[in-house]
Amino acid sequence: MMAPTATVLTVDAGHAAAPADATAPVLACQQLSRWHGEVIAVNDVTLELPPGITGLLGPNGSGKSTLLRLAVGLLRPSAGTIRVLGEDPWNNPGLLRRIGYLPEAPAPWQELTGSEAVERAALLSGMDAAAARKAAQAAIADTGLQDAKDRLVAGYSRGMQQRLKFAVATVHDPQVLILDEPLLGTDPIARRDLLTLMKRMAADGKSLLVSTHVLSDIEALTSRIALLNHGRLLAKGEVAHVRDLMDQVPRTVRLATPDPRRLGRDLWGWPEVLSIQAEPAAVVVRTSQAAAFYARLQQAILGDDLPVTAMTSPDDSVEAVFQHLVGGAA
Amino acid sequence: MPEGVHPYPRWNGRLATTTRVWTVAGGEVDRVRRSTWTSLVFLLGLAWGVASVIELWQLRRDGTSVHEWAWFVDMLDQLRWFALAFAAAAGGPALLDDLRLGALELYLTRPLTARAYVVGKALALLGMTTAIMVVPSVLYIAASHGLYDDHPERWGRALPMAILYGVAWGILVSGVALGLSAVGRSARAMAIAILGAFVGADIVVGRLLSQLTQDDLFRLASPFESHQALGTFLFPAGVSVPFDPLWGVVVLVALSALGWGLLAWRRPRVRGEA
Repeated sequence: MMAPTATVLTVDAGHAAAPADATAPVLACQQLSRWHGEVIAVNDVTLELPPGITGLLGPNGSGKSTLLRLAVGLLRPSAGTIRVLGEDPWNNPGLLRRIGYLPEAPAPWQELTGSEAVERAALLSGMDAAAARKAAQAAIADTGLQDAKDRLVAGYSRGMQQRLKFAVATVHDPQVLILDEPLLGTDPIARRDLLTLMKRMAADGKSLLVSTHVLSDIEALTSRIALLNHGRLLAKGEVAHVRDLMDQVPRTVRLATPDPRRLGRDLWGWPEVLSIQAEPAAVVVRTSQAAAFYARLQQAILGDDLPVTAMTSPDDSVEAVFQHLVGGAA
Repeated sequence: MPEGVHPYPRWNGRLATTTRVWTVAGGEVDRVRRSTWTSLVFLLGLAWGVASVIELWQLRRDGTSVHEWAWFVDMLDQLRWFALAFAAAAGGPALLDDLRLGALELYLTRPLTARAYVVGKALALLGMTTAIMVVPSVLYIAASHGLYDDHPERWGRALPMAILYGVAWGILVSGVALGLSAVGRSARAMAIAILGAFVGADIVVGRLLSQLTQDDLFRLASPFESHQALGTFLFPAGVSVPFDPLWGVVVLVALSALGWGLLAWRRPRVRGEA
């Protein structure tokens, strides 16, 4: 395997092979808007994404897919500009040789076998038949579809379809990968494999823009995220910032206990506790300072001061925090 | 680092800059080949050609010494129904299935323009509908040379004329099929609409109205008769129409332009595209 280099050259023989600056933005939007009739899908987004992996986060309907479709030239901006690798993607076949796109839609070409579908994608990208066959086999192997490569795509599970779409997106060795919900519907093994593959591709020098509405998917890949909601760019930065925000978000913690009365009494008066609700075999606590509350709780449990047998937090996931953030900003 | 080399591990070749129209066309032929209905119609068309050859052989065995242009043209005219059915079955899903299953997005995110995509689809459908008429013609002509010593006048022109006749019908039916496929939402509904449009125009407008009004000009509305009008120019004998054949050719060109115009006007668009 060749090591990634700082200089990236175009593979498009028909276009000037201009060396790209390794720090130049892979994607740059300037006051980008796209509306469908009266619905604004992307609203005045100005954004620059450097090479590497970037997570594009947002709830369903936030404009993630529209932004990605603008980036691959499927849609034309209603206002503003978008550039990928410094070029306008609209009606730009030369640029599309350097982009791999994984759409949210199910795997296409259901009448073909997996390897035939990937091979067709390679042919459409401009490879000759022999190279397409070889590249398809490599992409199939990379995505772990060898055992299913001769089966019809129509019979693939959702997870296998995601793997196949990944192979289709990467078969022509694109410089930039634009992945719309690549882990949607995958089982844990496929999830792990695809995350590993994405990280490997980034290490190989590719840039990835990955959209998802599950923050943990992105956390496993990168620390760099952009948050979209209602078509607007809410925030851009590090996942750590979101983690910091978690502590400011009121959290519900359910503590199982054989003695709810006593536990409630003991917790009453803690400065981190906002409210306490007793249940037959548990106490539900609402806290405004999660980190401090957990630290104090851990100390108390270890010191046998509190009769706690189990602890769960229904909104302790990063997804819940993300929902809280975008909900608050909406 | 030289031009065309890139730092990724899997492949170090160059991507062609030519538009992959033939890849799209090949993919479409492959899709049709895998479909039971379209394969069946295609094979039935070929079987009809084989049946015509058998009939030719029987006539020879019964003592006929010269075959006729009319037999050949009759076979071609009957084969038009198979070509029409094929265009309806294959043309309906040609664009709609790609749209429905998301393949259109994948096509259009490859180095391929929407025009190249449509041209590839159209070439495939046109080629296959034409083949339904041309392949049996080749069989028939070959058999005629094997079975008969004497041939009708200008029989040597039979193959090129059959190809022209088949191409004209292919342009008409595949244009209408793809045009309706571009504006429709359901492949099955479009297949029925394509068949309905041809049969309706032939029976209701062409035959019924001409009988009711005793005016043969209404038969111009029948795509079958308009196409036959072209045959009067191509074949030395065996075909006639009850109106000025030139008008028939004009109607044929107009109907074809309507179908292809519809396709050009309402080319396939991905979800969300205005």
